[in-house]
Amino acid sequence: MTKRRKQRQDTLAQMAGKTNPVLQVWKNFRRNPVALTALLILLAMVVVAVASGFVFDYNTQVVGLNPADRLQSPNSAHWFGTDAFGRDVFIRVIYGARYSLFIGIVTSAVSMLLGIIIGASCAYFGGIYDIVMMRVMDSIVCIPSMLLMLALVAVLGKGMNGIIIALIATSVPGFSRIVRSIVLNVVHQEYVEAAVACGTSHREIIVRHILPNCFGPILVDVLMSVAGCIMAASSLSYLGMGIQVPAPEWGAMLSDATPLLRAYPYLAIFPGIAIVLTSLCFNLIGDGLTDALDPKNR
Amino acid sequence: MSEEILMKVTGLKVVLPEKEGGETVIVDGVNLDIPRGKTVGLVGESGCGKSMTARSLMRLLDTPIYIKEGAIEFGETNLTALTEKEMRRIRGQKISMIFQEPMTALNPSITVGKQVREAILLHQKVSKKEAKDRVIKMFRDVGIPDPELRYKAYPHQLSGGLRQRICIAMAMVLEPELLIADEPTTALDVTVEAQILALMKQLQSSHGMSILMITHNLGVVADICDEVNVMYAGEIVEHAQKTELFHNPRHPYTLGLMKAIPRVRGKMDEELYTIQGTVPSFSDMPKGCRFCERCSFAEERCKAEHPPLVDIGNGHLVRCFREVSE
Amino acid sequence: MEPLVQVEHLVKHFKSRAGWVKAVDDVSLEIYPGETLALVGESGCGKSTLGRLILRLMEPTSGSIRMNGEELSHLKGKELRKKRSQMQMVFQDPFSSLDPHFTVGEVIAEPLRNLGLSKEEQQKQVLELLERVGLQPEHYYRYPHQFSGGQRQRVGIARALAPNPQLIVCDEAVSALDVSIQAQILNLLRKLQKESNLTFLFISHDLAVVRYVASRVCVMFLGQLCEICPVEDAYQHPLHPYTRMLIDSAPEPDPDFSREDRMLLEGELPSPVNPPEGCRFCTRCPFATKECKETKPEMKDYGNGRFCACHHPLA
Repeated sequence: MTKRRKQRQDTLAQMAGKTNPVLQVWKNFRRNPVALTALLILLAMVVVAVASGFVFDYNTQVVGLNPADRLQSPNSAHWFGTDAFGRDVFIRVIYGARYSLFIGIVTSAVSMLLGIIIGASCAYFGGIYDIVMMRVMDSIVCIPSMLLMLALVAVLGKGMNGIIIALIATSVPGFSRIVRSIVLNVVHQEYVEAAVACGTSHREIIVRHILPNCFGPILVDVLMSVAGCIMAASSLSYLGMGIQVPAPEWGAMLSDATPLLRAYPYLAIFPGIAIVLTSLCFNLIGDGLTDALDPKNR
Repeated sequence: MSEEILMKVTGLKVVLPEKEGGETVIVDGVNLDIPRGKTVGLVGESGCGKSMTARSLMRLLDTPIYIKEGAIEFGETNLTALTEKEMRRIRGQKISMIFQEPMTALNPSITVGKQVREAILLHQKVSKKEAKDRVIKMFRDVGIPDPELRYKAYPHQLSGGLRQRICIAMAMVLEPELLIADEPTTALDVTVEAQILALMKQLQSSHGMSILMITHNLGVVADICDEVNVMYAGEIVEHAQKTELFHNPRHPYTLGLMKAIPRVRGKMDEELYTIQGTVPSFSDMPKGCRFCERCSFAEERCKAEHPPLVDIGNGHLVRCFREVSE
Repeated sequence: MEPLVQVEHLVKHFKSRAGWVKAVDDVSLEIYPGETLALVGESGCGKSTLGRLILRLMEPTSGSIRMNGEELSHLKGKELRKKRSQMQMVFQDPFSSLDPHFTVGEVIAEPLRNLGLSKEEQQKQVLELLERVGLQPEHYYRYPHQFSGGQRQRVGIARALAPNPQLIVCDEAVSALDVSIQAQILNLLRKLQKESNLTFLFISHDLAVVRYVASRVCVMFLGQLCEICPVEDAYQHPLHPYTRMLIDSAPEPDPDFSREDRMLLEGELPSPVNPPEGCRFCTRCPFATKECKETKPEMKDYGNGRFCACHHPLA
């Protein structure tokens, strides 16, 4: 009986051309050359960032002082040149990817989790809870994010932990508002009402109907926010409130390069390009995913 | 039958280019004559291309859809040959359009009076005060109660019927020669629909303009149209004067449509007549007659050859080899 | 005959910015087993709200809803969910009433899943249902967006049929469809009713469509019932002026039809927040008198199943 049932299912599936939804999303994504390129670049960055931890020796190559080689323009020995302390800029830029990617991804992931919990619960349950929670979020959003981050870092201490907590605190309110409106939009769709009419329980409605329909827009949003986090982390480090010297964080490198900008512009150009390129890649992947996730493309 | 023809459309072909090359033909060689001072109906179900035809006449197609072939002669000019700038001078002034959804056709953040006034100021050099007076007079003409008060209202403060009257006022305030109405009463309640149709008839006779009425509702056609074109799968399949069409429908699709409509008055059949099957998709158009797969009168010839539009007398055109009657 | 559904003095008020909207205001009616009761009215009359109240997709402000003698109005949670298999809904919009992430099979199986059927049993019944509504078995794994409006509506009907309900509420189920598809779906509904002895509450603004499916008609205006009568009476000899006006306003696909002596509505719809004191319809009624403005008319029995709430009924 089981065998026959499986056969019947297979025939049905064949006749109907059933597809694996995840595979379908990937196929759609592949068709977008810009998004695909961005993904490849990002993957390459990740590989390089991880590998650099094993390839380069931190103390000698990344932060080691080398006054003899200082301030060289890009040449065959040092592809991006050297900085005021004789350190190889290329090695520092590559190593610096570790900080930006780590901060960006961790911050976004945690913000997403908290934002989803807060935003979805506000949207689904509504009432006083929704009103109070949203006003709390609103009051945080009112404070200019940079000021808030600086204040938090001042209290929590500079360095990796400080930045991450500060970034999360400033991202969650905005994120929960977005999640709330995405979920609200889905909750009011007629198919949710139809599910209620079928006798489906709240829990099943949330898991089977609401989450899958929100997942796409939320994921896209998360990717876009990674870009923002990277920028924000670099800004904090630029101001000296983030990752501290001598660590090769891109923003910190920009800060070092500022007094020497006129004479040695390459010191700023390469870290700058790195920041922009990474952010851009996340944005483009987010764009590509928006189209790929549309169920109409199955 | 010597009427002055206000607009003559010949061989209109509207296409949508496909991503992988090739194209989908949405409107396939449509000929349409709109006489001065008369109401012409363009009837068909969703997907037949009637809205696209209407938009092409105003050159309002969204890229990448475009007019591939055909001429739209309006007076002395061929509208397909005009630049966008020249076309803007015609829109609103010589030809205007009203749409199905009055809520989305109006800007929600500007008062309705100002919106209609804007239509005047865009095309004519008059003072703001004079424009406002003309707007209020137009509001009165379209039956809006308390026009001075309503001038300052926002769209969301008005009912659907009132909003559609505002849209009609906006379309008519510059006394156009042709009004294109794209399903103007479909989104309205039946009692309001009756009022709006009566209004349109009255405005037409007092202003002497022509109306091109796009609709899927044969009841609306029977009410206000003078002549009718029936569209199916991008082509005109029948054209006749109104009474001729209703008394003597010759195309199987027209016949089927008339029999499938549930009626409020008169005798009732046990079961509603249905036209089985569905409209073929534009990418999958059959070689011969486009209706033959759903047609109870189809023959071998219908599958192989594509029937041309033939005049069977009295200006009654039918695209059918069998050309049936009840 | 005992009624399947009894609604008594049902009230639903919504809070809006302008005040309390009395969407359903003291409505009482009965639905008998095996019939199709049509609920007719224009936008804003509360017919959709009434349909949803009966199905308990909304909670009434006050009043009673009884099905098979059991009181439904205060049921909640698990008890309510159990009752849902007895009453189902077919929605207006075939696009938005199906979850785009669900295959057609999953959509139709959802009520069966909630009843606790095994996966095999679910699949078997879904395939049967697909056939009953005129779809093909290979549609099982397709997604809604791959279908036309008419086919999607068939899926919605299959979903409503799945748990073998006693009552199906059709909320403008054919309004979004083309004429030729509308006819197909109406014939399907009639066939299904004959086969399974279903009871339908058919909500529509289209009087012509209603004539083909209904056995009795209820006319609603601004939250209250105007008239209840057997279907042909509504068309041949309506009692309430509003019913007569609805009929007269309907477009007629006949050019020779005389449009002169129709009774057309004047003026605008009164606001549902501040309806008139007496009869709701008095501001638009050509026969309104002082009595109409001051006293609300009661629903009177005129015999032969005809009821009307009007101080000056026609004929």
